[in-house]
Amino acid sequence: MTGVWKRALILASGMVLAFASEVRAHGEPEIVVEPAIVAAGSEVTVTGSEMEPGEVFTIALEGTTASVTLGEATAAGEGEQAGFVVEFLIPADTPPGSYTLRATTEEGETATADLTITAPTETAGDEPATVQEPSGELHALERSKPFPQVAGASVVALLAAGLGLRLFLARE
Amino acid sequence: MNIATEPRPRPAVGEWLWERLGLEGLAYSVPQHANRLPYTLGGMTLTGFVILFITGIYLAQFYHPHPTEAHSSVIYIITGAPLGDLVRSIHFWTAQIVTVTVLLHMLRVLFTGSYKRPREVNWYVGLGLLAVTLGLVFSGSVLKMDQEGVEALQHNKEAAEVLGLLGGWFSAEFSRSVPLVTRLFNGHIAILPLLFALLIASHIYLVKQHGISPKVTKDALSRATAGEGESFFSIHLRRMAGYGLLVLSASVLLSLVFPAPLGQPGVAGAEVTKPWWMFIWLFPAEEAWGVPALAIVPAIIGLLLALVPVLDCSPYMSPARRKGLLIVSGVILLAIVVSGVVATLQPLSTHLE
Repeated sequence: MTGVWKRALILASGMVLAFASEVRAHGEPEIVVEPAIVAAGSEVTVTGSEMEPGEVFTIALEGTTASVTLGEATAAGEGEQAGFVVEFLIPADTPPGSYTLRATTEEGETATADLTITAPTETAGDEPATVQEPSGELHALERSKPFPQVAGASVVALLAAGLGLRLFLARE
Repeated sequence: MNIATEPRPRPAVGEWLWERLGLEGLAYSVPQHANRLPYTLGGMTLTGFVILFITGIYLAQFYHPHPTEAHSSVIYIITGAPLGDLVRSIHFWTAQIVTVTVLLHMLRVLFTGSYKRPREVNWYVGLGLLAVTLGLVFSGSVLKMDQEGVEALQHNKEAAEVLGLLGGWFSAEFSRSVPLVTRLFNGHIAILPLLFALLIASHIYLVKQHGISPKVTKDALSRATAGEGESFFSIHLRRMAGYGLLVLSASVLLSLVFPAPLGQPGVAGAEVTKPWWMFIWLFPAEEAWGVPALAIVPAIIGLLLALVPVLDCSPYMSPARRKGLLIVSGVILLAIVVSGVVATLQPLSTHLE
């Protein structure tokens, strides 16, 4: 490569980098939601970063069955690393499911985070749609099996044991 | 290779298969002690995995890997799917048995010094298989999305944060479009089984290359034994199949008497359950050092296991000549067992932030 080409390549690279740094003065905005699994009616903490001071983000919950605007958050801080920490209440009647929490500005900047919402707990909201207390108890289900199934499984177990023992005890 | 030393007559179909599939190639020599129970634990584990693959394929036809549908789909498996409760219970109990046999297999290898030259690489492959097995058990415990599963998932997320980039895959932020539970399901039925297949193929290949480790005597030295022995691999295989069928039998009977448990639908943010026995020993460490212990303690134990062939590189296989390593291993094992017992007996406490 000749010296001219080298200089041209360096100049072009510099221009590209300068342009990139100009349009992404503060990088891509990011949000983190804690906790990432939450019961409807509970609060989540949304932390934004890589934002410009004064930027206003609208925070919305987007799901396949429901979309809810939770509120707004304004980035604060110095320089190009501003952000926010805000708490939002997830409405108690939000259907359980997998949601995307989206923060958007009027200029179109967007940051998203994954949020799974489970059924509400009794303490989570004033009037939850479904009250469900966390429980370590087993789910009570009808688990009796028809006789043919029990008999068939027993025969399989006995045959497997018999064949297994035969293979195990077979002379070498 | 002389198959004439196995004069047992085979039925016509067996003879046909024997010839067409070239099964005489399996009748290579192995030591007599290879047919004893401690040396067939690996094979027993493998047959257990075959049962898990078959039952798992069946369960996947009815399981819905979405956070809001998972629990109800497990209820459907139990109450509506043909033979669903039985198949799920066999899957559950076989997983429990396989976890026991894989741990016993590792302890046997540790005790008999079977990780020594030239088998060091196979020791590491075995550690990989142990990690994959525990990963399969853990992801399987989460998938049911009952209270215990949701709590395990939350612990998993917090432990993943400690790992930084390494734990990225386990975080909800990794994928904006697919929930973590769905990705854990992908891991459970695709990624981990693929890793298992690659590792088990390597494991078997290396066993074949180096032979079964020599019988442990006072002066036994570790060496390759491929092609040596008074017995045959076909007999070893028969024993393995025999044990595998006994595992199936035990699993079916346990399933009939004690169907696989399912808790209430999981509620996020609560801690009202304890993990399964293979993870509960971590509870006291979590109690003392917080959620980071869930990532750090297994990592330390994994590192110590990885160092075993490095720390104990003498050729002697006798436990009497490896007292230091075995005493330290025994103390760690005892600490794990005591931790598990303490955690089982102690009242519940919360750790999640």
